[in-house]
Amino acid sequence: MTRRLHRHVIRFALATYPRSYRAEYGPEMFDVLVESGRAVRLSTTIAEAISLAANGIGARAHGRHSTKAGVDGAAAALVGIAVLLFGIVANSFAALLADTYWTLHGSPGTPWVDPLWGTYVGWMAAVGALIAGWSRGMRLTAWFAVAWSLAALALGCWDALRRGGDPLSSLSGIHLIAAGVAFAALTHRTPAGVRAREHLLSSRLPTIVAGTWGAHVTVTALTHQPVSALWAATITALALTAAFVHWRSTLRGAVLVGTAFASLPLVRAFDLLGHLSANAVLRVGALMAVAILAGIAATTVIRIADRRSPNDWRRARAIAASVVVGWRGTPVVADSTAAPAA
Amino acid sequence: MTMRLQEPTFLVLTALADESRHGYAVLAEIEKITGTTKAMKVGTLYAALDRLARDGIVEVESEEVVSGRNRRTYRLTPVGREVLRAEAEKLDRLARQARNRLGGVAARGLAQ
Repeated sequence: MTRRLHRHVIRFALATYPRSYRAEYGPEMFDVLVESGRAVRLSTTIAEAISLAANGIGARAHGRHSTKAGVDGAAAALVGIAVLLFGIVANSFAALLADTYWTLHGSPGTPWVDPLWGTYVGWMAAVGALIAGWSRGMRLTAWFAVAWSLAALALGCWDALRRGGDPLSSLSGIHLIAAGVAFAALTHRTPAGVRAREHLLSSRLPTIVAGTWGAHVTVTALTHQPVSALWAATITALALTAAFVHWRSTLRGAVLVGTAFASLPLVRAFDLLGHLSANAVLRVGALMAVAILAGIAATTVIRIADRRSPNDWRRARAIAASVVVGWRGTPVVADSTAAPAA
Repeated sequence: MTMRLQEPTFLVLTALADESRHGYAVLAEIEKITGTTKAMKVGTLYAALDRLARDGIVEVESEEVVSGRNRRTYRLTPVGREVLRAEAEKLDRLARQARNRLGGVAARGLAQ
């Protein structure tokens, strides 16, 4: 009877915590209290209950408590947007280098300086800081890139971008700002030191990038025409992000990746009258199947890496080495940081 | 990396320094370290773990289901190790200063 009363007191004290916190930690805290014998004697039960109530009210007052799902979600979104930005910036960077080359070699075209150079460099640095797990650097470079884009917009530099001069109809500029603001805002929500670097990025960002570009190259080789890199990168990033926030989405991610890569050729397969040729049906079907397989491969690699401990830089290197020299079974790398639970 | 650590936080980090532990094991280890029972309340422990996880200093290594209940195992991150190392060095420096000064006072007392 007394024991039941003590447990009721503890449960009552736990009720002071916010609902999401209770759902996350409540049963575990209750178990620890019972296991450690702190809910047996009246004096310790009351002392623990007062401590719980104080911390619970504090958690409500500050409204700052981390749930695994929330932090993981924010970190996953951060990585997804980083992949998207990396894709966009890498494409823009390549185009700029080509422009610079032709300008220097006296080809047609006037020498010009892209007003978004600072933005591109800023995003490259932000993604680098994310991979390095340097939180402050990530925040500074992300906000710098956003500020540079906004300054270019405000100063009317858009005309120099050869993108039509109207920023609202020029999605290539606006999406960079929108994605950039989202990325920069998320840097404050997600501690890069752990979630982004150790938990998410170490094994997954290289895999995502490899999966994205691998599928891109496959589809381009099959169709002999470039797929919309932006559209494909967007959906791929979303699909692969979904895969590692545990949405049981290997198949879902694969279908999304496949759809993304196959959708553009599908649209192009229609003629001006809206008719779809029989040949095009076969081609698009085969393309879809290959793209889905590419998606399954990419998401499966992520899930295999996911089952292992986050000490993955060495592990990722081992996996890469296995792929290069031929698969020789599951690479086993000693994990110096993970020790058996007490 | 420098940041001010309160005693409960320092104790939690110290308990996790040598190996990963779940909540109850962290409490038991803190009792062992401090040499006292009930050195930390459960509410304080989880508030500290939550704050440390938010700051990227500890992380959940694994979750297992024991008797139908979820049980998390926590561990220090590399950032957490740096934080603990810096704090331990700082405390060591301060303790040495205190011992030196106490030694000086004792020596002066003997001389008088």
